Amino acid sequence: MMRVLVAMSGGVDSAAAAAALVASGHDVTGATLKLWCYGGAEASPRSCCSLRDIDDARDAAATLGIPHYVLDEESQFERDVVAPFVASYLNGETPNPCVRCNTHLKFGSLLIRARRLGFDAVATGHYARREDTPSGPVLCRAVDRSKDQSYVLWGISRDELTRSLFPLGELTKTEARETARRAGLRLAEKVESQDICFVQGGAYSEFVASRAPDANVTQPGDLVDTQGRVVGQHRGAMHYTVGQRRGLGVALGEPAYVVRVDAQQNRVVVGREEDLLERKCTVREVNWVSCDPPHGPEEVEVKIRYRSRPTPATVSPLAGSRAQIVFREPVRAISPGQSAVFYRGEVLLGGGIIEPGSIEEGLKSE
Amino acid sequence: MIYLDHNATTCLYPAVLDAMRPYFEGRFGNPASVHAAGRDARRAVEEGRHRVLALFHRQPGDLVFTGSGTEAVLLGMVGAWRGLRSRGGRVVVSSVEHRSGIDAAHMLESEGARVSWVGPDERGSIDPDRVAELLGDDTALVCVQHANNETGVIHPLPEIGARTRAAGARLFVDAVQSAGKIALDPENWSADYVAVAAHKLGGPKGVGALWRRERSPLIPFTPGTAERGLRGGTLNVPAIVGFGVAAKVAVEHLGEQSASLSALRDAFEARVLRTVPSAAVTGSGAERLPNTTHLTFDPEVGSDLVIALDQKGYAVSAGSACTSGSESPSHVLLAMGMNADRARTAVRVSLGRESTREELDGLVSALQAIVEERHTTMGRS
Repeated sequence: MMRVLVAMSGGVDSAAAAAALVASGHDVTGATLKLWCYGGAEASPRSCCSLRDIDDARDAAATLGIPHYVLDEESQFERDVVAPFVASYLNGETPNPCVRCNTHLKFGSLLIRARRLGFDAVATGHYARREDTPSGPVLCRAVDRSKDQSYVLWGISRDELTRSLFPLGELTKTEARETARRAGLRLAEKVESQDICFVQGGAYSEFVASRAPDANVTQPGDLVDTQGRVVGQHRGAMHYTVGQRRGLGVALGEPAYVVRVDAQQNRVVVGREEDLLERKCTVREVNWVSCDPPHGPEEVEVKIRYRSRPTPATVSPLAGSRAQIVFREPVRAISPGQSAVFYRGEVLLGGGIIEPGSIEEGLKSE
Repeated sequence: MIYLDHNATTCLYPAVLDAMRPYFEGRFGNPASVHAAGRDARRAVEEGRHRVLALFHRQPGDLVFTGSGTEAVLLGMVGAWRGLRSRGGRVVVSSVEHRSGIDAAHMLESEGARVSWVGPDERGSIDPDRVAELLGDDTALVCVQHANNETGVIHPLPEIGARTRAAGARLFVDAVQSAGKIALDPENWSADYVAVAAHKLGGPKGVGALWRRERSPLIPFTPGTAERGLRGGTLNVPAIVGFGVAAKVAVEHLGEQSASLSALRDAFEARVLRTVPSAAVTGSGAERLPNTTHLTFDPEVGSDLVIALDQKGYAVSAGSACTSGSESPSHVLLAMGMNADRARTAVRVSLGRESTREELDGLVSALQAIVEERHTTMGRS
């Protein structure tokens, strides 16, 4: 039996994770991180956070008969997730804030607080698995491939992994819901939002613009082709993502795609579908979850977005926690700011954040 | 569980439950009814009112029952301002009010009032001179709590009230935390409105009251015929009966209880300071409620002390909680100039009539163990 602190978001999955741990006899406590205030300036200071989700988590914990606490992490969330999210957009990238939230909040500060409170481990409702091998624990993909969330967990450290549990890794979503239902949880039928939690209704660029109204990437600018010729106008570079096809309003004689976002000059480069194919990129903030950092090139499979297939590539470490990735076959629409995650079979080895400009370097070197 | 969070709520006095029970059973009349059952309920309510008025030294005034302390604060601040706004749009509010007062002030702003916030000194006490500096011809209302719910610091209301009255403004006092612990004296405070709640002094939850000096303007926001038009809604008869008995018991035992609690509390503070070197008592230089100790520790000790104590079976509070129940650094401590990291270590211990020296000794040991363990853990990692 372990003393486990479960991060309960108020959703079905994390509540099911708590229920599963209770059912297997662990000493379980729930915790909900209060990360963000939705109240506007004119609202009272109390009308904050996603109160319904906090209530749902509290209610689930009460039903399970476990203690539950709400932990304030607003200032850290702002510093480690929201501010970098905005900065990344202003840099012409398409960030994935959930990755940073897992790295810094759920397995960062929550684990520190959990250890201080005498817990052996932190558990979450992510669909991923930890497997214990003679050389230490490794992070693996979920049994339910359609729900596998290992991709968003590449940033946790090896030490953190030894104190992390993923009770849903062997379950399908249906089984997780059934676990919640069996435990009598009222939120078992809850529908979940896929939105980024601090941006309501998916209005990312409006959110960024409200944070940085004077940034150049919020202003209209030139759409250029791969030769640098101006072919139209755009409404602000931050509204565009590599691979985007809709809403460009240019005709190149064939379908046009965003192939690059140049934040510095507030230019959006458009090209043909084949211009999206790349063989190389570099990543920053590289982390190795399941093994020691390698000294030389590693043959791995790389996922460049949450919903893409792992594709064979070579990862070569560079100085300063960077790495270069060379894909065996060209891949389509590598988006700076997204995570490139390294797998070997079931095992997630590590990952990094795709750097802007690195793709162009790749082009030149061919 | 050892319960040391009496500023959050208290256990009912046994006499309170006994007095309330008949009004849940046979004596269920509506005080607004014409018939005998109604008259019986009405009589019970008026007896309750008379007893609660004893909390205010029976000074000339009337009492409006509300559904909670928060509602009494809201009625006192918003209702008074609505009645006084012809005098001017300014309201002076202390920045260390309970969240209900802070929220009421935001509501006043949304109704067009201009709120001037007056901060405390480093002991947590509101300086009458600072209040006086903010008073002008356009000031309608001044809102200051009697004692702070987190630190227990008692504000100098007689001086604040004298200056408020000299400037032609009226004083609202949130006495929810002090009622039943120390004497309320609206005459001496020159106060026009005072809010109280039953569950802080051995009465039931779900009933509060606003005392109002006779003929002080008050424009209600719950229309109706109950409470002479000042607060509509069927009266919570059992709760009012319980409130009355709790107030009666509290008033009768005020002096002795206050003396024994402060002796217990002072001994506890001395032991904490002796055994936990990084501990400090907040507001120790100010006059404080006899039952309240507010502690902070070296920031290195970290947050979540209240959770760690809960795990060991001690019910205490961080002093401040938003609707989510999360521990963010308290607005009271930040207003006193404390840094946020130290504020996150806050632990409020509030004693009740059943608290014992043994319980407090246990708490000292638990605190000592937690703090020492954390110093060791921090050193290791």
